[in-house]
Amino acid sequence: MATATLPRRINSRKRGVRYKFRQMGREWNAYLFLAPGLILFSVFTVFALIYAFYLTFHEWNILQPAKPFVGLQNYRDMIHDQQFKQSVINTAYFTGGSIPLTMAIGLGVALLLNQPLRFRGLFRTMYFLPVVTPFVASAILWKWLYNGDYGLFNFYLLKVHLIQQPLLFLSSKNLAMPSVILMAIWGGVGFSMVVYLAGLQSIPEELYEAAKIDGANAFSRLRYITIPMLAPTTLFLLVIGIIGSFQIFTQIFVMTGGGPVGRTTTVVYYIYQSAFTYYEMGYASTLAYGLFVLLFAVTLLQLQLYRRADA
Amino acid sequence: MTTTHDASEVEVPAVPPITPQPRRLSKPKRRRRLPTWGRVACYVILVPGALLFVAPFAWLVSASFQQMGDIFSYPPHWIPPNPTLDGYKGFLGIGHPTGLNADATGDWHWFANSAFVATTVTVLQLFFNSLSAYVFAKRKFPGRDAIFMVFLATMMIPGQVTLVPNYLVLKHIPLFNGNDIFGNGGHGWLDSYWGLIMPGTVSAFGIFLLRQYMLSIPDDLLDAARIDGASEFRIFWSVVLPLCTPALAATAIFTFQGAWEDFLWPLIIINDPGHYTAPLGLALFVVKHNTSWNLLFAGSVISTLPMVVVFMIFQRRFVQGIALTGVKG
Amino acid sequence: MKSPKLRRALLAIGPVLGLLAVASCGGGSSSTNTDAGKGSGTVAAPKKPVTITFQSWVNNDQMKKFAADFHKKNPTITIKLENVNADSAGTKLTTQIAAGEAPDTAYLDLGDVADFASRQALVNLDNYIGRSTVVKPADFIPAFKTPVTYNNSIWGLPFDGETTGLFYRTDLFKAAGIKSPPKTWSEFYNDAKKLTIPSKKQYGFALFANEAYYYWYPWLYQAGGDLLSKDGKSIAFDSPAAQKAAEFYVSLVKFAPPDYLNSDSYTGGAAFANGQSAMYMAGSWFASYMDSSFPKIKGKWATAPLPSGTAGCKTTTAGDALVITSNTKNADAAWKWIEYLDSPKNVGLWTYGSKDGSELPPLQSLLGDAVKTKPVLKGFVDLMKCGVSGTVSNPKFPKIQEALNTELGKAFYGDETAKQALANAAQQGQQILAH
Repeated sequence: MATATLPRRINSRKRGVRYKFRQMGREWNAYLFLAPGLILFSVFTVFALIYAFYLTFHEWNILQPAKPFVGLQNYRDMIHDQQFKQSVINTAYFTGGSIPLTMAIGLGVALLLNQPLRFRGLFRTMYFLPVVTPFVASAILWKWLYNGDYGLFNFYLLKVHLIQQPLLFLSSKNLAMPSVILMAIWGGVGFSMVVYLAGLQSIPEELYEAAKIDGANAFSRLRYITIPMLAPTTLFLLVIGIIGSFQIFTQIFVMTGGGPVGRTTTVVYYIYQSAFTYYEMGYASTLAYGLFVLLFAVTLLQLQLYRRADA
Repeated sequence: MTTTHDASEVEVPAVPPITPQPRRLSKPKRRRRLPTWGRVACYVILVPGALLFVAPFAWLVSASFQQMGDIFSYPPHWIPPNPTLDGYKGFLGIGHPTGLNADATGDWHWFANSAFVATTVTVLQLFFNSLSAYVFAKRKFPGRDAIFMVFLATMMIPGQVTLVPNYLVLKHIPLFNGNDIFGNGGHGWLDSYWGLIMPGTVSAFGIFLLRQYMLSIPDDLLDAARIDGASEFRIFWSVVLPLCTPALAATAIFTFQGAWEDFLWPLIIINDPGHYTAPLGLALFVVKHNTSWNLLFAGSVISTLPMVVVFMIFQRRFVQGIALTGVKG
Repeated sequence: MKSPKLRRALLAIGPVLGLLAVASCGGGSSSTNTDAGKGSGTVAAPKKPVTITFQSWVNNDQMKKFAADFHKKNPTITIKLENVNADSAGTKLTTQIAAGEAPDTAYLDLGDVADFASRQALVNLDNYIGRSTVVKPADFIPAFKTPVTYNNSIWGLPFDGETTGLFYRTDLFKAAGIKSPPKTWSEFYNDAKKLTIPSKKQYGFALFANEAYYYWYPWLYQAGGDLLSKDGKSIAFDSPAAQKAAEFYVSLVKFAPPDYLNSDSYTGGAAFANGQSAMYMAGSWFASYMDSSFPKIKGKWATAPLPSGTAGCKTTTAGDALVITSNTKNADAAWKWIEYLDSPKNVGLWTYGSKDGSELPPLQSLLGDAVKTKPVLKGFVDLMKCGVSGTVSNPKFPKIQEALNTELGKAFYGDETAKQALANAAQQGQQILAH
């Protein structure tokens, strides 16, 4: 049942305009239901987006009311902007490092916590704790954990002689991004776990029973029942996860400030800098739309791949 | 499925729990037992992992009871060497904390403001989100898919660029705080609870989650109610919403947390200390070149605890709530 | 998403476009900011009661006392203090200015004054200063007067300041057998080398890639270099003198505590307190930070002027100014307030006169009193005459500075030589200037 009721695509058949109007008349109360949400959404989100789009064709330093029209200049600048390219690469690195691991660990924990174990609720809460820990607090905390001299990580790593020299987590060019990724995984596993638990619970037990009768072992049950049945859940986590991780900002802002030497400057961090450090709001808006196009393409691609695999 | 013949019967959810999840049925079978070695293996993996996940938070709690000088000492203390409530007293602005800057004390009103704002946002968002989610999931009308697409697409634009436009919108809300009918002349919803609450009352993510859940409610159920002459709103309110309680609970947690944690928006629009929210108050302790860490940590603990407790109690419902039904739109 | 769908989507949100028109005509502030304060004689307080808002991240008890005292003296003017945290102050103020919602008066970083003035966000104070008997620009110390000056007018009143000086651990110097703090570049280099003992986790001098540009400026000026050419139209920080300064600066990396390289001078204070960095370059604010956060090392550190280079003693200055935004409707009352704050007596109370305060008064006439009250400030006061204001009143400069910072950071990490770093930064800077 879980996947049985998919929305029926109603616009698949082309119909006449008159029919459409009649349908609109018939379904008037659907619009009424939508109205409050749509109005609020238009005022507070869509308007801002249109305004930002308008700004992409202008130069605006925020402090002055004047916004001279510059045509496509911002877009041309963006295409040639090395810093933007670097920030896209950094963001992709972050996403590629954090999302798969977060999902894999989340799935593993969910599989374990779906077993009839004692203290299940307590364990779930413990793994979920990072999700509800305030963003700013966890960033300060991790910064301290990573500290090379009196941070907890180095303290214990040195104690068990895994390392001889303290690691410079946030100060080293090659370790800074992995360190941010590790923190993101810590903060994200709880959510993946909960969503996977939900997905696991909607797999009919009968499938497993039948497989057992056929002599399938635990591993092949996982391989041929659980993972395929979780495909929609995985897709959901992937889409939401990528949208979220492409917009990573606060952690970067608090932890590394984009450094060292720009190695952790992500797209949104660069957008923020453009808008509020360089006062180039028009250009910042252009970058935001650049990010949007990128994200939109990635999302469509995922959906497309999923559909093909599903068909 | 019971066919109801009287509209009033619809009001009381007379329908037996036709929950979208079949797991209720299969639950008894789950009471299988794991072999002992399997159970041990599970614990061997789970316990260290759980400790790693909790450790930072545990340290946060411990640090919130420590004195400034002890917090960043080396080697680190897990048990406060000189336990103190200064951080908490200071954060809530009660009593006379010692060892703190006289300037850097909090106010319990911030906490109350946060609670009020986050609760209102959550209630309103649940209502508006579910109204929209319902029509996206269960009604067929021209423009539906296009509007839904726009909703989803907006999740992909970072808030940093919508900050200034949104501020302008707030300033120009007509007829509020000195504004005329065209929204000029005054300050609109700036520096007010309205400004804190209204922009957060609808969320694309929330609509998306609820819609996915509602898709799994059988259409027959709604059709039956329609045949019985129930109005559209009644169907929504009395049939659909009760079935969605788990999903509503799940989105409620995320919404509440988001509203509770929000920092940049309140900072930008609020000037009056009477309207401060907890994170805003917290941030103001991070005075230039002088941070009252224990106070900051105490505030963080206070603002996290409610969510931890709520999750612990409702985690099972919560998991059910996110039992999604595929993302295929 | 095919285009018909998009078009339909746009239709659905069409009505919003109307709002766009409304909002885009908001936020304009009139260009009367040079006319404010015309007239003669002392500025009078308004007859009708008005409220003046003052935004800052330092609205502490002293500021509250000022506000109350001012209200007592000017019953028609009420001061409303608005807090904002230092990290986000810029974001908030720019958003407010964009919407025409800026506070009447604000506490602004000295480095931002010329930038804001050039974008017509502030009120020109010349007329008011001309009529004032309290504020005397002749008394402003030059290094603090330059940043508030733009187009030969004054746009802000310097309120507090600091110079960048040298902090050093007396205990570690003693242990290394160094008698006095370094006075020249070569002494500095040799001392840093002697103080670096990695096995003891002890290093000579802390450097921060995040603030690489800022703490390079003193060396640049000491070597006789400058940031921009005199006319402000071309980059000057790639001159031979600048190259010499950068090479020296970058060569110090091997004596810097490595874990703080991607940190900043505030966070890095811990390195100084823990004895990991024997020398530290910072503003006088660092003295009160050490006193309040790390009282355990009291008596184990001292301050000194920075070493001198070929161009003599030079250092950077920083500070904060009081400004009136062009958004105000009560420029006269706003002026009364900042004039009150900037009186010598109140500047004294605000800077060296406060309990933990270690900031310097930007007024010549107060320097003697400052040293008498807080002897620890002596080194910094002496540096005042060597102060070069490190800010250039060019709106494009923040971006150039960022490029410079990134390139110097790369040199710290060994990605390129100091010379290459300057060349790359200069090339980007030229592009930004020409853009």
